[in-house]
Amino acid sequence: MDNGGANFITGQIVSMTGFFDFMANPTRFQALAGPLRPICFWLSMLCFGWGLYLALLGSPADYQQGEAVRIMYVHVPSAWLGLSGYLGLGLCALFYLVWRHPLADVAARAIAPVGAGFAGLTLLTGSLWGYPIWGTWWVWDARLTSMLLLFFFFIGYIALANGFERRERGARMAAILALVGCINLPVVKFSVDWWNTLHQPASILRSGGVAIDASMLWPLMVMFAGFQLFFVWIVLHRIAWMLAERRAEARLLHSDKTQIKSRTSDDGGMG
Amino acid sequence: MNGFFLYFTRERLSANARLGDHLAQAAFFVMLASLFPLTVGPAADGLRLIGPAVIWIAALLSALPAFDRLFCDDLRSGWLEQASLSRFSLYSYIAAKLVCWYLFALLPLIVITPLLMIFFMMPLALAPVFVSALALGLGVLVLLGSIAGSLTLGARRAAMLVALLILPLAIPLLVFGVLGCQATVSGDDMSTHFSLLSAFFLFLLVISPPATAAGLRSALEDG
Amino acid sequence: MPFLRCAKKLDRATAPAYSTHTMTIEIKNLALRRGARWLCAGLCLSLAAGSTTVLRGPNGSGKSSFLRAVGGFLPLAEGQILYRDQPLVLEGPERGLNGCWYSHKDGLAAELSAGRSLQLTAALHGRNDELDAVLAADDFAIASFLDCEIRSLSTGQRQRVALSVFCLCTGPDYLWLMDEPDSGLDRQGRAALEALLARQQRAGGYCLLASHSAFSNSFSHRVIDSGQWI
Repeated sequence: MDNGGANFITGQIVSMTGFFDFMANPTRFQALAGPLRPICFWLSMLCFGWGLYLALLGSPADYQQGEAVRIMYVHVPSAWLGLSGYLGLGLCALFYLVWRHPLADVAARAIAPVGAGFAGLTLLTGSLWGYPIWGTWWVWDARLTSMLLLFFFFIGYIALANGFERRERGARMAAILALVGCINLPVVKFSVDWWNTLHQPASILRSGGVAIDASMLWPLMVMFAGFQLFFVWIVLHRIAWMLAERRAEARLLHSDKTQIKSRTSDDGGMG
Repeated sequence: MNGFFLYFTRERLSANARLGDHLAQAAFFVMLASLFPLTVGPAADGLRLIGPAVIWIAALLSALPAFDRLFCDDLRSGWLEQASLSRFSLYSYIAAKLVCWYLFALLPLIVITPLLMIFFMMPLALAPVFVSALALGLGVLVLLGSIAGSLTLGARRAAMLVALLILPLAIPLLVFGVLGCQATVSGDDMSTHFSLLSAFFLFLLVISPPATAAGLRSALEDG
Repeated sequence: MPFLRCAKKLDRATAPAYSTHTMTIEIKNLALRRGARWLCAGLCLSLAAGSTTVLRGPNGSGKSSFLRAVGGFLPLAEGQILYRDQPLVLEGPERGLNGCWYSHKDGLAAELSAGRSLQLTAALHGRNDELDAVLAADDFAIASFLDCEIRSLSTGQRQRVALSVFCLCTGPDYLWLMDEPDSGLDRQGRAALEALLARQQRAGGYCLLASHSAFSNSFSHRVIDSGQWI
């Protein structure tokens, strides 16, 4: 119809300050996380020092398990962190899918290997703990098996997030997976318990069980605080590192949005 | 024309042309399962003990590698783009795809199960229970496979990723299915296990289609 | 705020051309991004009923991404695409327009005959069993290989089959999004394509296409070069 004449195409540089803007947000994040990081680190070291003293020297040995019970002070907090790491992954995934917030993807990628590491540490300490108690490195106990599956969930997430040529694709796909995994985790846990009750009526290892003495609970809590702070510190550190990497990439691509502008033109004709 | 019917027609015609691929999967199923008597030994008691687990695991492993192709051909040929710009909802496409995949790729495995029961010295009187349990179990698997298949679209080493994603998610399927079949063999109550398996199926029926659709939409971004 | 400024400019520019804004597809302040790379920002464009717009530009200038954004495949980083003052929906039961998509990935089933494949694609837009209607026009001379399997056809022949679907989908309810529809066609095929585009235009439909080559003056169209929209 009307070629020429009217000006159909126009545009201008858009302001850079959208709340969800990728380039703007990291600065705000850095401003918040920058001072937080050393605080987390030193507090966690303090907790570790105090907690380890309490765990190794300041608390009694178990009347059944003897000195071996002291592994609990590492085992139980890392199990909690493994699990809450996966929940954090799910939360980040939700943020990413609903608001498409790139920082949520960065956070999820920062959490995943750390969570996997804590799940792995749980398995390792569980097996070290199991050897003196059960006389074998591995027992298909419901808790250990669930933790093994959680570890597999983490592996799946990491593999999918890094399995694509374009990182954003991996981010979306992995976020969907993390969400599905989070919804599915209780079902998997239930099925493992179901399987376990049929095959092994009772397990010896009741880590962090119901009747724990206060003398043991106190060091456990201190150690947990230490682990938690350490987790936060390492995740914040990884986020900052990934953001710096992405900024460098973006600079390499010359892809500041301000450089791209749609020109106003009047010809619009047959060219 | 109804969307489901339209998509189903196309899937049926294409799958018919590639029937050989799907039957190869059933052949793999039988071969995989027959490795166990060859390695564990031919004693009837031992085979009867491991039989249910082997049949389920073999079914899982032979159905698994194909799931990376579930949506891959449609993405490559451009049909996925056509389908997602049509008058019909993407869910009717997914439903038709899964039903057709179930009928062509997984039904042969279910049908051939009684043969494996003979291999594992189990009474054929139990065949109806095994076949229907496996039919339900593979229904669960196709719902899981649709999630994994759509999430790995366009990934490097998609087949490997599919296995990594499905196996942990498929644990409840294996647990409930195998426990139910074992209970059947030993004459115990099996209904609870199969009820739980049905519940898992219904649960996935709710979460699988939206997750699959999200994966497909994300795959379409790149084109 | 940027949105308002943009709309104002647009008003001033297009007010004389179209009185009925509701019948145009308004692309307002569009920004697209792939990963960290911005493809375009602040893009405003309106597609009127019965108009044809050709996007032109070098490889990698973002033509296809822009088409994918209008088709709803690529999420918009910023901005809106409106039709009748609603965000444009091309898919599903609550769609505003029927989206017809063409790209070198033709969507035909390799194992099926050309006729069957054509029917199935046309049925996606509610055009059932109208193979006869295609053959009556047969703009793209596909009758001779209608019974051949798609995988046995050449690229150009497949392209003709895929384009034949568009013969059935003309009119103001259809938005055509075509990514290089003329790339593999011979002279006769090109003429048929231009005739087809002209028909869509006469029927008052919408058409946005990306192409490297210039079209003849047999139908009126507006060319937007990448310099103007990137």
